[in-house]
Amino acid sequence: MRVPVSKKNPTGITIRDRHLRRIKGTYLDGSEIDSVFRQYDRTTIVRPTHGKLEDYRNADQFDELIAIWTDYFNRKFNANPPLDPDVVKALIASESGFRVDPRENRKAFGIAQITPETLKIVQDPAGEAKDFIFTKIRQKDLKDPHIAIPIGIRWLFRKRITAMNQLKRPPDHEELILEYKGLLKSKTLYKEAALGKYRKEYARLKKK
Amino acid sequence: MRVSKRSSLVCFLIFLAGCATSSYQLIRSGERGTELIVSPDRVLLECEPLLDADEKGLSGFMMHVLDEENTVLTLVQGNTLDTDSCHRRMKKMSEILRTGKTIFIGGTGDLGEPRRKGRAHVFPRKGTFYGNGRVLGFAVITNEFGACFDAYSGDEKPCPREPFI
Repeated sequence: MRVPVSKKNPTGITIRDRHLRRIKGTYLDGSEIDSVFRQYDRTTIVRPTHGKLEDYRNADQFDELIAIWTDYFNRKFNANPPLDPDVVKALIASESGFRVDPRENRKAFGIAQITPETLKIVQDPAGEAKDFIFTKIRQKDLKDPHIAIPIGIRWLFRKRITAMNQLKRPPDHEELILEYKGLLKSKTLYKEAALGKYRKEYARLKKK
Repeated sequence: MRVSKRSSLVCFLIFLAGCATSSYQLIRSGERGTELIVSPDRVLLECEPLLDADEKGLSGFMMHVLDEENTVLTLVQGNTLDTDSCHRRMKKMSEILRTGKTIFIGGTGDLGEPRRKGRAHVFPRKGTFYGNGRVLGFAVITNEFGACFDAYSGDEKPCPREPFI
């Protein structure tokens, strides 16, 4: 792209790919995440269903985070169809039971059970999620749902693409969740059981 | 003949005792989850290796429970676990089952859906039974001596936690 001629850019030409991530709003660090959350226009956001998952102690505590970040990434990626916040809520129910720091796993962390590998990818300016990245997020930060939820939702959008590449069509919400769990192509009994659990939580959220 | 009659009687009594101790009781099942009290012989633990998952070294934890109609319901840990963590929890839960006679199990979700025949499960002291397609989220297991294991915080106190108190 063309930019004003300067000492740094005597040709007046620069590579958009390198600059994109330096423009405010195209990457998220801790303070930017906090700022987006505090200043987000809440008037039109779609909130996940409230008061349906009574067997989880903190089920509704993260509704606002889920609503804002789902809306944020739906807009960022111009998602069609948009991601349903109830999918995110049912996913969190199945991943962590809404516990912010589930201890019983050494390979994934926080409420959205993000792995170190995923954290690396979503922060890699040259990686598979380079079109929108996070920065300066440490593994220990994943214990904070204000950090873990936006990363989990960003990862869902990436998984939508990887699932589509495998299926050669857009995934439905169940296939998306299986891809998030890394089980889309799995033939295990566990896959069926885990999907059954997710399906039940999602159905409860959608029940009138 | 006399010895034979006596040994038959002893076998019968053991059989009766076995029957008496094998139990399944549904305490509640609804919007606030499902609670069961069962004898340990009705519980089967499984860490299924997820060899075809995207990431290596993962296992899926499941607990199979033989119900009142001798069909098998499954409680599942929704997140995949590293294989070491899965086997470590199996060991701790096996101890709960070994030392207890009355096992309390808490799960998320209800048992409202109709049964449908699934995979066969072998319960060492009971035999082979088929899955009924019913799935709950695993939440907690505890015995009458207070030994307890929570799906997401292990044996860390408090255990069990709300709403399974």
